[in-house]
Amino acid sequence: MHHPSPVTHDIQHATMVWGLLVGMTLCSFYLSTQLAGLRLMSAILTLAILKAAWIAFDYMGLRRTQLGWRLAMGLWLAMVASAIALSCFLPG
Amino acid sequence: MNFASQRVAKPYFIGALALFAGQIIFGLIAGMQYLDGSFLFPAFPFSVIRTVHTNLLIVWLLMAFMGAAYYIVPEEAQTELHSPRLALLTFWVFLIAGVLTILGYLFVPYSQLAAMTGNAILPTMGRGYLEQPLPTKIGIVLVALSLLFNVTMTLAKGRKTSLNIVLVAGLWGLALLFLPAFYFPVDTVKASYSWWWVVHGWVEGDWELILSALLGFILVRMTGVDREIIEKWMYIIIAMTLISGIIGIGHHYYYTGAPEYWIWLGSIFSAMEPVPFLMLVVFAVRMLISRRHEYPNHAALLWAIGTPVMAFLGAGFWGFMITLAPVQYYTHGTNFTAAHGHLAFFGAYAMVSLSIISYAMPHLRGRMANSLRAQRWEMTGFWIMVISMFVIALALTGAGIVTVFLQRMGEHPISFMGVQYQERVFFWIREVAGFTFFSGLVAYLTSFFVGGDPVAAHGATVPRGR
Amino acid sequence: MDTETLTRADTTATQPLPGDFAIWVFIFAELTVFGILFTAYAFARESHLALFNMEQRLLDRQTALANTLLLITSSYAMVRSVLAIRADQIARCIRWLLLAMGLGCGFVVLKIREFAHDATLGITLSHNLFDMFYLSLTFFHFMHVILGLTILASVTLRALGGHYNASSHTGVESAGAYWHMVDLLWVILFALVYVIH
Ligand code: HEM
Ligand code: HEM
Ligand SMILES: [Fe+2]
Repeated sequence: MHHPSPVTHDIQHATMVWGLLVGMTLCSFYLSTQLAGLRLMSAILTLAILKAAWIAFDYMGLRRTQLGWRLAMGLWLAMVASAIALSCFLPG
Repeated sequence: MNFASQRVAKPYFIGALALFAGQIIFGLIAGMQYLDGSFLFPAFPFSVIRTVHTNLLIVWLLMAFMGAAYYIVPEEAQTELHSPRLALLTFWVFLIAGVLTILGYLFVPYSQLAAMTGNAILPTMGRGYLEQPLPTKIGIVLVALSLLFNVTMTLAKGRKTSLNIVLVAGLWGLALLFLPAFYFPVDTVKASYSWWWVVHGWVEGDWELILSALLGFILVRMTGVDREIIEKWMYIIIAMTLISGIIGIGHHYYYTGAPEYWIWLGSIFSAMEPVPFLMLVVFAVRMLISRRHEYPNHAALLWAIGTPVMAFLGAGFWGFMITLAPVQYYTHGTNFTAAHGHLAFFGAYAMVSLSIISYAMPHLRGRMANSLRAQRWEMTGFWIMVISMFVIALALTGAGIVTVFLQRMGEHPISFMGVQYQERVFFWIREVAGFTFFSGLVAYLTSFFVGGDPVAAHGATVPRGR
Repeated sequence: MDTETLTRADTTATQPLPGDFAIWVFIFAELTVFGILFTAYAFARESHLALFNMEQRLLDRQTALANTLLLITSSYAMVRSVLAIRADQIARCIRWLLLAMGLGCGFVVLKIREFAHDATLGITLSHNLFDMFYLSLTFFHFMHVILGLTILASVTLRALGGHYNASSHTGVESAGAYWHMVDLLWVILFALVYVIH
């Protein structure tokens, strides 16, 4: 089986993450200008958290490090997620 | 010690220790007056004793910082001090001005002192810690300028290490942050702003830079850990200090007439102020664990590890307890604050001064480390002082809590003096612990006079110029 | 097993943290400050919903979107510069660093314009609770962008001085981790303050 070289693989991966982040940003922006309501808000919530998690674990290099650091970041994301959730589930 | 001019640090250290002893004696008198209101009254009222106690604290800490600077800057810059004679002259000016000021407090009524010293021309007197008459304040500025000139010139011609740059920058900040002391408007809100710029700006901002530079220096020397690692820690600790501490000043603005947003900003940012103190602990412990050799001065090691721990407890933990706006609403100005003030000032700035003295004095006296017997005296002094101070803080915290409940929360609040009476058991504990603190100080000072063979270096001393 | 499979294909193995231990302590301290700020914002919004909703509508959402894209892309450039230095491509690493900084500067310019505009609208810390949070959060973050750019600049200078190579480049990784943090915080700020209303 053919393996791409490790650097090429990393570049492809980073580019994919970038594409996803941009996509999600545009998506949440678009939704927020067009619609309203609870369902939209939970969609945005999910997007925002996913986006944050992506950056943290991929760009920051936490994806494959020791459990302690991933746990710490997980806790932080949970904290932020609750802040966002609290904001989302209030009617606009 | 590598440079002859570092010797000017010695009188500064000795002067600092003498004033420290004086501070404690006046603290004991003030504590006594809490128990017996007529003690030494009317010759020396409480307000005067208290002023002397706190002013001696500030003066001896400044003196120790200056001594530390004259010791460290040449060593780090790898060159002689620009002018040792100026440094020595400055010491005598500072000491004499300090002593005269204290005598003025003690023997001239404060209002008369103000009239005598030109307070009418530029009013600056009266705010806590900044009670000094105008000529003394100007003297402090001149002394600081002389120090800054001397160390900056030394730094300019020598090796520029990050540690040295941070230390000298910290000293510049110390001097600049003193300037609001000259601005004392009639408007009480504005007056309180400029007061906190000095007091908070010092202890929760600029002095933390000095604190981490001094600890960094001692740890570089005693552990042999790579300078780069220590400097990196120093930088992030400083960054965290400034990020939390600058806006954290808002914890003094609640309910004072300052805009309401300070309730949010002050609470949130000051709640983060313990973090740099915690980082100091992690830093010191990691450096000790990864040390490259055994340093023969165990007493200095004990001080260097004790300082961040006590600073974290006093500033970080006790500070956090009273820093959120809803808590300050009840605890403001109670003995809870005094508990925090004592433990933080002692744990951070008194102890770091004693650390650098413990490290440098043997060198200044021509040896690597004192005899084991002397070190035992010193370490005994360490433990007695630390434990006594802890008891003092607990007693004051107890008194603070009683005030909150009896005077500030209940259906039928009791008057101020009524509450004081209810709290006298805590004031007794404080005074007894104060005397044991004093005995610890005596043990500590004794260590300087205990003889015995100085400990020889175990071969693996820190190489010159590391 | 050849080394390539060992280092890359083995996805289950844990890898050491990129960059310096100390920078990570710092990053987590910073994340905590912002975490507290975000939580405080959410609670304040909960108790002043009408005010927040009204004020949020006035924000310049287009600029915020542009800023988000700028930072995300800048972060991508940062990833590329770390990958480049790992592959010992110093010139490429520097080019990506410069791009990352350029995009960061773009953020700064847009943000300054936004602040200037806010000032003309009479938005101040004392104006109301939302403005207090909005200004403190965005200004505090803005200062972090400046700090991040300073760190990137110093790393770029060191890279130009030939300090980094494939086997020693902790500085680049540390700067990268910090820069990603700045980005991460903005992404949440964007969602929380500009989008959700
Ligand atoms: C080494 C560092 C510190 C020292 C030496 C120190 C010292 C003091 C002193 C002496 C006071 C009383 C001032 C007065 O006369 O009214 C004070 C007040 C206060 N400190 Fe600190 N402090 C330090 C760090 C901190 C930290 C880190 C926090 C917060 C986490 C904090 C929170 C407070 C608060 C809220 C007050 C006001 C108390 C009141 O007005 O009742 N301090 N501090
Ligand atoms: C060891 C015995 C000590 C005793 C008995 C003592 C006693 C006192 C007393 C009675 C006060 C006045 C409190 C008031 O205004 O109600 C005071 C204030 C103060 N003392 Fe001490 N003290 C001692 C040691 C120290 C030490 C070692 C330090 C610092 C290194 C220190 C720092 C301060 C400060 C900063 C204040 C002002 C606190 C405030 O206003 O909240 N004291 N002390
Ligand atoms: Fe403060």
